[in-house]
Amino acid sequence: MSEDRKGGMFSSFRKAVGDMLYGVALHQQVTSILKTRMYMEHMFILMIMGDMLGFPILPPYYSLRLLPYAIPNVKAWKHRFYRERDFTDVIYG
Amino acid sequence: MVFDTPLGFTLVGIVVFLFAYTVYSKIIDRKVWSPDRSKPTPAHMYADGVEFFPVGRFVLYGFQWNSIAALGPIIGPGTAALAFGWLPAFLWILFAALLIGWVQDYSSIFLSVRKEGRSFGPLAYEMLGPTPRRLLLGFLLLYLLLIKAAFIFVVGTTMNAFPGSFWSLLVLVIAAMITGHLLFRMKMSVGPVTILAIVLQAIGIALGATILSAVPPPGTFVFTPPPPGVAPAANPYTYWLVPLVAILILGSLLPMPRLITPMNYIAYYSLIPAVLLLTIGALVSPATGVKIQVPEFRGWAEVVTVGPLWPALFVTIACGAISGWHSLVSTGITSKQVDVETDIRPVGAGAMITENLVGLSALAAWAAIPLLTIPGGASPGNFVLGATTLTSPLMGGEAATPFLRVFFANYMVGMAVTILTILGRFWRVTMAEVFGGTPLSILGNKYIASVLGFVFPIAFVLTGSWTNIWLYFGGTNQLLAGFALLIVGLFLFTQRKFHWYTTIPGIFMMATTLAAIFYQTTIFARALAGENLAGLGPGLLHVTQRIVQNTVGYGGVVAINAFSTVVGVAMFIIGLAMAIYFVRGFRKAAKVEIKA
Repeated sequence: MSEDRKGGMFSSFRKAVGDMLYGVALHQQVTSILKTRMYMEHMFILMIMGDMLGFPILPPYYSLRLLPYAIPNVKAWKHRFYRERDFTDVIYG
Repeated sequence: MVFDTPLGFTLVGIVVFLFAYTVYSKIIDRKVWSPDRSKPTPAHMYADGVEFFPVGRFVLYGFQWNSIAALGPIIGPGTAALAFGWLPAFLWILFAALLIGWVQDYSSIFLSVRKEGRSFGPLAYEMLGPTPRRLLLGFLLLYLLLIKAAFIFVVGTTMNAFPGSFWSLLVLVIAAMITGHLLFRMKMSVGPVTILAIVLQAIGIALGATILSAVPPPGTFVFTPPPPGVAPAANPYTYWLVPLVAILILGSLLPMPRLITPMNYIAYYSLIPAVLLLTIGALVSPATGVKIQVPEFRGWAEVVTVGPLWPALFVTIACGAISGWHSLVSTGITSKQVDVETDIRPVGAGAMITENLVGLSALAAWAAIPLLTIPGGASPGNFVLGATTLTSPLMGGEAATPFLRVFFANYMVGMAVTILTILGRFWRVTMAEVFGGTPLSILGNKYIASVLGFVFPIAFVLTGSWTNIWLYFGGTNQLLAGFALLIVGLFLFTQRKFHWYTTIPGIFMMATTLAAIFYQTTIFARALAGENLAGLGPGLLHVTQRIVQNTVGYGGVVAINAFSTVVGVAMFIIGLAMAIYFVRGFRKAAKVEIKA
């Protein structure tokens, strides 16, 4: 029982140190890459916005093929796109 | 016995840090903010997997520490110790660690979490109105100039004292580009890439400590041989600016995953061993025989260019005590990834108190050797020598000295360059924001903005005195911290909660920083008027200005002093205007209470 507890404590400690090292070393990169993705997604959705609304702005063949990939993200995208954002949001991208 | 070695103050410091975290921050956490594990945070409410997503507390703690640690906690304690003695520097670190530093970081995260993950700008807009937000934008541009100037100065002087550190930095940049390519283009797994990066960095340090230890970099011809009137020892860092700025401009232009983030990633493999080594070195100093070599107290106002202890001391040690940069990170990124409200204390307060430990370990290094050991007043190099003195007995004595010197110089330069590239990019994006769509949109162009972002700081670097630049930087940095503290105080006041724990430090920081900026502005204005303040001749604040004088004549010195005076006046006016807006904000909030 106490062996199990020791093992549990050791593995939680190991996980905590691992998480911390991940946070120090890699999380900033992940955050910045996700932000890059966010900006690309903005562009992507704006490109096919016309078809979503029923106005073919680009040749519909391409944008309609892209539409299924965009639809699952529209809700989150709307929130991101309309969120108040200024210069203090761009520290890491 | 104990108190004549770094062990004494390090022990006292660690006890106070523990008290600040386990007692004071816990009381504030429970009584003021009352975190609720069941309350959804913005990371859950707006989860999009891109900007808003929950992250475990240890990951977020590591991220927060990574993002707030830079050169400030390394240089500030030494500058303060050189000007006023180690005791005032130590007491300010203690005081700030207990009552101010973590208060800002923790409270900024909490405010942003309670305000739907908003960043500093939108928070300023909501609490104070549109004009303060515009003032904040202008202030941030000046802040970015000054922080870059201060860090470029330090890197230049450190490279000048330890040329091997330039080569280890170059290897760091190359290793970062390789790492970025392998991780994000070739999709290699993190483990082998990390090992490769660490090995490359070790090779860079070994090269810098041995065959390249005295080889100057390309661009050396710019200011060598020294112009007439400039002593060789003080023919300073200026030629190091050429390759350094080339690296920084590259960093600000490339996408972040190509250089900046991998460089940060690799540099932190130096940070952790450096802080551990310094702390252990300080804790075993009675056994290794390392004594405190810096005077306990040097006086209330050491030299005219530094100024009196109040306000100078409180802006000299920035990030190791309190820093406005932290509130930008806390509200801009961290608050959007907090999983549960109870994580905010370990993340915000915990990371800041670790940063205080970085400052304390740096003070131990600075205190381990006598003042100004390096000729020509290249004081940032003192940290490297002190750190080597403190830790070499642990690492094999004299034999390890050349490697430790380049290791600590590389640590210092790496900490500065990683943040400088981020700041360069931040400046470029902010310039695009400010000038985009205006008749001056050319200034927002990515190439022009990147170059300007380093040309203006170089004007500051050539301005002269290291202390003047550092105090200007510290003044703006701490003033930003004052803004953050008062925004939180105002929010708590509107909520009718106990706000004094943040309002009093906010008022203290505002008053202190405005006084410091005012003092430094008068120094530049007096130099502009031709006063001989530093004993080097009329208008000259530092030997570097002789280079300008010999190259373009006295008019160059006047122009640089005028530029610095104008920047100081602008910062003071913005700070004062913000103070007025805060007073109005509190009065308005008080009236709301009367009506209710």
